[in-house]
Amino acid sequence: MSLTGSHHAFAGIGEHGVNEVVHAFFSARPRYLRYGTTPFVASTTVSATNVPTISFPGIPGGIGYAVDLSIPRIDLYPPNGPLPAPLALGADQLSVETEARITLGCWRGGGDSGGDRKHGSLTPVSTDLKVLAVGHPFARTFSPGVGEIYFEVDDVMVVDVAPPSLDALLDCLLRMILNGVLSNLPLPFEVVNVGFFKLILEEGPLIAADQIELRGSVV
Amino acid sequence: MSSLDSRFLHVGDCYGHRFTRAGTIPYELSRSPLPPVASSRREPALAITVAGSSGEHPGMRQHKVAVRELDGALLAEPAQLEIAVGDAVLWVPDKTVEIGFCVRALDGETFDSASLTRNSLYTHAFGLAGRHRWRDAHGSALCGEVLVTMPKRTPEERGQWLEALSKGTVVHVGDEHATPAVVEIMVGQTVFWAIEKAPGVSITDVTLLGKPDKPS
Amino acid sequence: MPDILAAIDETAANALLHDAESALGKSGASGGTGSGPIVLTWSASASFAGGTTAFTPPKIIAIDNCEANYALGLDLGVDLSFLDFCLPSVCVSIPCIGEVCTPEICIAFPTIPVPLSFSSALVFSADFELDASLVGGDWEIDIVIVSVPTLDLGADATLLLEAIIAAIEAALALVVPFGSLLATALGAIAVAFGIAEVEGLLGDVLTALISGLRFNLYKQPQHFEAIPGAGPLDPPVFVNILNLGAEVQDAGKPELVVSADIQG
Repeated sequence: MSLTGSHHAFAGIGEHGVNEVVHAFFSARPRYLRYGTTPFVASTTVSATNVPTISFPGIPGGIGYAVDLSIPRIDLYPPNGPLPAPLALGADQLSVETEARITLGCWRGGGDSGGDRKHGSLTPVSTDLKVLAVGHPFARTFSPGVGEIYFEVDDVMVVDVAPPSLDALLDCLLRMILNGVLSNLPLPFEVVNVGFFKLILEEGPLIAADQIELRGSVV
Repeated sequence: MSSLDSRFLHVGDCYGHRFTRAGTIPYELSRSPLPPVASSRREPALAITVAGSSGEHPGMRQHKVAVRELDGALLAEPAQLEIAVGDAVLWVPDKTVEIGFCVRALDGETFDSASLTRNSLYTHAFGLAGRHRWRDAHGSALCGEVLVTMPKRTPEERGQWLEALSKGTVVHVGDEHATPAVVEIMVGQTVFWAIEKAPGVSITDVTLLGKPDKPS
Repeated sequence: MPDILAAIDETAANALLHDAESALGKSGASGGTGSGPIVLTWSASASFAGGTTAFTPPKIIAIDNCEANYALGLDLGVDLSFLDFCLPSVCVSIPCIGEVCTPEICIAFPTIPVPLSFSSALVFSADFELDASLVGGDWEIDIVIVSVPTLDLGADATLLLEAIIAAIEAALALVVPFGSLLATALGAIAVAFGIAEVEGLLGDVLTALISGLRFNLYKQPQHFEAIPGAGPLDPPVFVNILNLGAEVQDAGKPELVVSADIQG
């Protein structure tokens, strides 16, 4: 069966290629894996992104925290192995696996009503979570032949969390965080065909046989 | 384009004059058809020295003066020529002469190839086939015609043509008449205009004159 | 399985071909030849446009009806020494003057220069072969002409010959004073330099312009910028392209397929 089908051009990137690009992106721009409030991240650099504290009445300066993710690993349909229920990988879907370390800036201080921060100390408290997610790719086209593929996760499972209510809370939190991270990860059409031609997208992105597939015509 | 014009001599032309009086006649090679201004003074570089006594002298000798051009200047060889009374001098330009010239005595009288008089001669070898009408550029009634034909390409007629190249045709000019008025030759042949009596005429193709020619 | 697969069909390949033709611009060549009294040097340039592709696995891309627009500059030297001749001395008897003889007049004819320009367009078809290689840090995919096809030069040769004869005739008329000699010169030139010689000349010119013809379909650095930088906080993201290859496949539809591995 031909690659282009009823179209004139085809571009496909395999699972290994996708992970190579993801690895290259987060290696060049690690700030999209590490987020933190002061003092965890004093200011945004290439290595880390400074985020505001969570404002809370009675907590001067707000609640500080940090989120660190490992470089996500992408699995394109069909799955390389079973996913924990209820996650399931279908056609045109991908799964994302990562480790998330969530750190809370925990203040402990004396009983002085002037506030903990005046006489207390900050102790980071962390937990490591294994995160699995299932999502799909989508494309944004900016002009004929110029476009990018993005990933979006639809369902997330944080492994080994109890009770179920906390599990559900963390699933939702990590889904939002993961989508926030992935929204900064473009996969340009030009990468999918290593610059062979400018693709006018007519079909896709589809996922089959461990490959993201785009079809269309050329500029 | 025709080059038939005795006022401007080119390769293939000759101008001749027979000298009947003794004396030294300085002359010039000029690109102007008009005589020089009387006041112009130059050391004459060219001269014909005629030795002996005036009058009729049988046994005329012909002398040749070759005219060539070098760096834009006209040169006569020999520049100084000694002849006897009754001899003729023939000026012959070679292929280095690119722009036509005339031969003119500095006294304004003795000889002038741009204004032919008695005892003068002009020759022209015709290179273009066709009908060549000519007349006097100085305005007299003198005129004539030379019909030039192409030789045939058969080997026999080509041979006849090569032989005919060494034969010339003479046109006698006297009292504003040319005899014969019409001559017929082949390409490459030479016509001689012998001036027997004339006030100062030229042999000029009518196409060079810009005026309609007089009916013959 | 390679990390990257990119494929185009013949319709898309036509677009890439036409882009490649434009990118090639003008190719040039020069040479010289001679026949009889004519010696000539030439310089030529050509640009290419149009044509349609047809794929033949594994490596052949045939291009039909590609138009070569060529311009030819000729410097002819016409050696007229074969015309050299002498008008004999002519003697006549003139009254009052006597016998007068004109001297022999010898005329030597030079080699005359005849510059000439000629341009035309030629349509040709040929097979090209895929060539993927790493050149100086860049991956390149070219299609290279396999062999120069048979060219139909008849019409152009006729026009060029007419132009050459006209140019020579005009130049000769300035230096050859006698009509019969002009005809002789033209006759000799026509014998030595006719349609066959002109076809040979055009063949040499177009072979020089077309042989080795190479269209570049792809050129990217091996160290490939996948995502451009977006300020000091977002540096560019590079991947290395490895093992790039190109071939023609036909799995129900002829396609040009480029494959590659990438390394982050």
